[in-house]
Amino acid sequence: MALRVLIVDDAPAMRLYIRRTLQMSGLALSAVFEAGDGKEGIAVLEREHLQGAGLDLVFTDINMPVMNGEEFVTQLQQDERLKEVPVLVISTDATKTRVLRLRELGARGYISKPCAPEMIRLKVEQILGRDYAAALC
Amino acid sequence: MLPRCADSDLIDAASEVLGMMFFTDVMNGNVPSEEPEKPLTVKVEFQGASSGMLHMSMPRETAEALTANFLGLPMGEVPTEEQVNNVVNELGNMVCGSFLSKHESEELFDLSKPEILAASEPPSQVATLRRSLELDNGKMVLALSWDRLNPAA
Repeated sequence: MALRVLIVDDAPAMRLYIRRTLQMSGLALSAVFEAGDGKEGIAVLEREHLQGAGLDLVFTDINMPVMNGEEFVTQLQQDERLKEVPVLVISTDATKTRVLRLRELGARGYISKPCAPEMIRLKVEQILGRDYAAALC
Repeated sequence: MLPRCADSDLIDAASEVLGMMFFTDVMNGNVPSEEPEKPLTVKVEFQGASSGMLHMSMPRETAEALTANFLGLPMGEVPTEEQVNNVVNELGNMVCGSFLSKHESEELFDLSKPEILAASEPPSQVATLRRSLELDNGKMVLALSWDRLNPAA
């Protein structure tokens, strides 16, 4: 089963890093979307939902302009159409307080940067389960 | 007076970020300070229990090598100026965030958007920690300055 993934980060270099890591990890990907902040991310999720092709996983940064990662996760959880889409936070801010707060808000996982490519793959497997593990090389 | 363990936390943060995401080893974490000519400098400010800023300076050749590693560019391909600036900004963001997560792990911090500067020297602050790193593909200078210290740190 091929994944449809959204990467939300204001740093183009980081979006490219995550995209490349996903592609090199052996995950079967059918679509990778990018957004520069949480508001753009919500727009992508709504658009894809309306087209009947939801997303399987969202990566998001925390520190972003317009709508940050916490606001993004909060808004997703308040939307009945989108709240089941798992969100994996990937950020330099790995303070315990921040991680706990994001869990409470509804994030399904957290990766602190720096992170090796294997960590991203491992977290994806943990969150999406065995169905997707079969898509790994 | 510098916060306790700030020195080792900063070197550890930089080493981890460079090693895990830039495939670059820190060969020496405290070489004699030597300001690179026409350095590329990024500044990241932090606000929380303490506040201050990180300045990170490096020669353009080092920045290009790190960018090529991070983006996985083919051998010999020179990154564009935009790619270099984007990656150096992200490197500054990661080192600053990683340092704060190690140094004051119970606290919440806000980081500013990284900014490329023309000058490399941080303004005078309450305390400044400065370290020059020798990398396996270049060198860089880290300067961490506080304008307000966390008494608990």
